[in-house]
Amino acid sequence: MTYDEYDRLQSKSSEQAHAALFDEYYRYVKTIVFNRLRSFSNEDIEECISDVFADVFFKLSNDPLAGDIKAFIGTVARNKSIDHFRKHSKNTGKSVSLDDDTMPELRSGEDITGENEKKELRCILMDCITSLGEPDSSIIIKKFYYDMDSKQIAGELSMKPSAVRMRCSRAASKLKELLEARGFKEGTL
Amino acid sequence: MNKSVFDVFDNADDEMIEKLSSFTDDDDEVKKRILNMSERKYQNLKAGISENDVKDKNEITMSVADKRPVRWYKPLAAVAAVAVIIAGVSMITNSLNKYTDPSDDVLPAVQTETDSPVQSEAVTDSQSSEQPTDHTTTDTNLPSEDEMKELYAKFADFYSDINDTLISKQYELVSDGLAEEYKIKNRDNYINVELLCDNEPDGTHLDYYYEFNDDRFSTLEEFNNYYSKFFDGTDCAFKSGKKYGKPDEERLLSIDETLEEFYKNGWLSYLIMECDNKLYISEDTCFEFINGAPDIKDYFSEHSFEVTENSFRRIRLSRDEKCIYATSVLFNKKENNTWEIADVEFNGFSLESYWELGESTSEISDIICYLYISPNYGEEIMSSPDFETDEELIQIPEFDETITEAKARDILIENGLHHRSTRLVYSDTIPEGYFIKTVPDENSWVLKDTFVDIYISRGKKPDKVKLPDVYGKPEGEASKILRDLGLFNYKIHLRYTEDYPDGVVIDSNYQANDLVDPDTAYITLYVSSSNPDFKTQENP
Repeated sequence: MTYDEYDRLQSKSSEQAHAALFDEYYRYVKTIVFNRLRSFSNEDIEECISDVFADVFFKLSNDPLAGDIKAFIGTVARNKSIDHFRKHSKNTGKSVSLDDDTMPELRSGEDITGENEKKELRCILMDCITSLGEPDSSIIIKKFYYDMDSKQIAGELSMKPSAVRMRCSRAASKLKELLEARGFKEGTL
Repeated sequence: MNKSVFDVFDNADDEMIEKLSSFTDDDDEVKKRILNMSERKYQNLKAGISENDVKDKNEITMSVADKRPVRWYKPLAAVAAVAVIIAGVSMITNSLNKYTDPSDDVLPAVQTETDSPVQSEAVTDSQSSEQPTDHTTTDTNLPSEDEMKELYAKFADFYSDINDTLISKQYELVSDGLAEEYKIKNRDNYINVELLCDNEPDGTHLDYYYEFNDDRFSTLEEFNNYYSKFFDGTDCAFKSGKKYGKPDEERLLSIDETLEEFYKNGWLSYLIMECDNKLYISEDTCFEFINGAPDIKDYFSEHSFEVTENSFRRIRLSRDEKCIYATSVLFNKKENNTWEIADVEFNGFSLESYWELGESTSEISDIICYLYISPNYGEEIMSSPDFETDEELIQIPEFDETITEAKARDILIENGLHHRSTRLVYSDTIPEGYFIKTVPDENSWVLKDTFVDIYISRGKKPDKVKLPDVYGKPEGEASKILRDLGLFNYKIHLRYTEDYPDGVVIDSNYQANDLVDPDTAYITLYVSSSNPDFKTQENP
């Protein structure tokens, strides 16, 4: 969706425009927010997502957007996630270490080697998961990254939970082999 | 598999976010709730009400239905949960102390689940007490303790028998002849039943089946007849599976229906099937039993709960060296006054031996609930819904590597798909401007209206890339420019400023027109933020 498309919809009905924007970018926003607030509760994550969209609706209603709407939403989502992280950390009395992996934006950026290594590991992991094929790759990501249980996954993929567990078990073994072959250390798997 | 491996995805870059986003979604209810929250917050922003104002106000005026759990709820809930755990542990411990050999000291000291029966009275000791324990009621229409005990005993006999059958490995690989006919291939020690099925996203349905090699039954009818003896002559039917995309629908496998027909009609895996007068059992079924079914005939306690005129739940506790198992069976009375097993739930409590995937074992009910007493076996087949083609699923077409991006986009649209983005990537083999691949992959099955990424070749990778001028551009646009140049080693830093709108590039550790090696250059983009928290960021 471009800003012009959004603007045209908004001129007819704000609610319609909001719903269309929400539908199109919900997964994108959720992924960004979840990626940064993975250790938080679902309730916190939903709260943050709603903040992102409220902010986006508000800013788009006030000022026309010159650039890419997706990039703009991504930026808002990242900023809001950081805000939520800080707020939640304050509320819980946790302090945020500048070296904390969960807050790389606060770090100096000097750990280029570490970041590159992490990026490489990320790519290898995603490559290996993708090579499992569907629905196994979806099951693995939903299970181990999104922390969904078999029933939830089964509901989304229209499978039996037992079949999900079976496939997950088999795919996890295969993934382990693939990762070991690509240099992941055995002890970390 | 260690879940912490997946921590590497945290704080992922844009490209990885794109990939991860294709794996997430929520149901419509959740999305609707979040959209409503967003609208409410948006209205507050428009009215100039800050979030803090709203929260303060809501503490006083918001209705219960709209309110998120207040802070005291969590500790209270935690206390309640602890109380339940303690009650459960006490019950189990008391039961063990009372009914098991005191010399046996393998009981875990602490239990981690709360689904165990919490009453500590009126338990039936299988080892020492033959006297039935009556429920404290005067309603004579309620099932008696004897009746409930007898029904559970029948279930236990049946359960144990089928468990023994399944774990005794009385099955073997299918013959080559059958494999050919049903496109079944040998693969290692499995049989690999691979059938084309239009209703699966990936175009195939894959399952593993073993052939039964049991003298007691060679057909599904004989199998059902054999197990019906455990239920006073009523039939024991095996449900077949659920229809793809319609998880609420399920039906039985018809005796005269072949596996291939069944799959092609869009039904998913089932437990027992018959082909050419032979019986086959799915690996799913074996897996469940082999990996965790307890020996429920060797139990130390059982008790009925939720007893009404027409239903009751009975839980039996058994144990092995590592776990205590609670096998809970829900019995419902049918119209003809016979009882049926409506649900079976199985929980294992252990400090150490959670199952392989680290989750509750209660889902064994998904398997056991397929085994139920049904006198309407034939009628249920007759009344099963006709197959309807699921038109929402379409296959991503195969592309020729000689087509351009514009043509690839046209083909996607012609096939009911949407073009999401075009990725320019280097390729040593495909000339610049030509198609490389799609994500999701070609030939994969996806929902209609799915957004697809197209990968187009940028030609061979150059040694050096000239950096473009991205100053003043929005973060997303600048990132895309770098990615399109094959520069993936970049990082975004937020920096406080009041001179620029949020989210635009205001600085970098490289200058425009610098020549960099795409493999070794690490680019940092400093992006404007009005958040004062980023005042302290150091300069490049």
